[in-house]
Amino acid sequence: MWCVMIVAAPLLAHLHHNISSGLIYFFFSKICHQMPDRSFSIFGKQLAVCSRCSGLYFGFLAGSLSYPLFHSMKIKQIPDRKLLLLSGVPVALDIGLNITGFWQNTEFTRLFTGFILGFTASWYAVPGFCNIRWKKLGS
Amino acid sequence: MNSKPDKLVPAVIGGAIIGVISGIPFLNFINCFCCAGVILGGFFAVYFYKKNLVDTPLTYNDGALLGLLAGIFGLVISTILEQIIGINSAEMIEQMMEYAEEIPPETEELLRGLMENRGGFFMLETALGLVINAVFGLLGGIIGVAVLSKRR
Repeated sequence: MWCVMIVAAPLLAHLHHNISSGLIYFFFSKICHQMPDRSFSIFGKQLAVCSRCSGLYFGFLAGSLSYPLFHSMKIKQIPDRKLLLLSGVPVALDIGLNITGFWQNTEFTRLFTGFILGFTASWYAVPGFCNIRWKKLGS
Repeated sequence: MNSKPDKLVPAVIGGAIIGVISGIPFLNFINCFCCAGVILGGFFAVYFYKKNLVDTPLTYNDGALLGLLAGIFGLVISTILEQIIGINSAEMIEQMMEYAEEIPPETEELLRGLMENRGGFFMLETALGLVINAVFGLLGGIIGVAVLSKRR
């Protein structure tokens, strides 16, 4: 749903549904800077979030969908916490090296590093969401 | 039988972290990175709750509830902080308009419409904030349990 909204905003704008499109852009403006030069575009309209956030959300989606292929849904299998920290290193390097001038990041490096973090983070979150669904909250 | 510690205090501490990050100008840019401040608040709510756990295990239900509560408290605290600091929603829209080339034209059109009804804007902003804080707070709480619970 989240990722559908990210793509729906430019599509709706392209189809001149400006209020619904504007609402989605406004919603995502609370959690992303939405700079046009740092965002991917479709039909000449930018996505609702920047390239790094796109990477994070689509990475999270891909990680969530691929989780059952690698893990049992019944057993709480969580990777070592070091892996989560490690997956944040490419993002930190991409931002840090860009700020210090050693590296000029691009839309694709932002997308890719965000994707790695989002993909990895999902493997920590999916077991939790499954566990809540099977038990009643607060029990 | 072991009773579980109170969830209110850790959730308020997590909410305070979210509130400070979201309510203070410039610091709130942290939230531009997928609401990292809200996720952090949910995570720390679990961290402080776990410190009071003695013999009972930390569950995902605890994490979800703590993250959700921290997100809601965070919204309340950030709104209060914004009022104290003097951040005015209408002024913020005007400032956004100055950088209109930085925002999508569809958002700009919507914001111009909202400028005419500032009460409605506040309501919309609060409703969106509630959804965002609840979603990311809950996510932070769940990741917190996954990272902080003991490995078997």
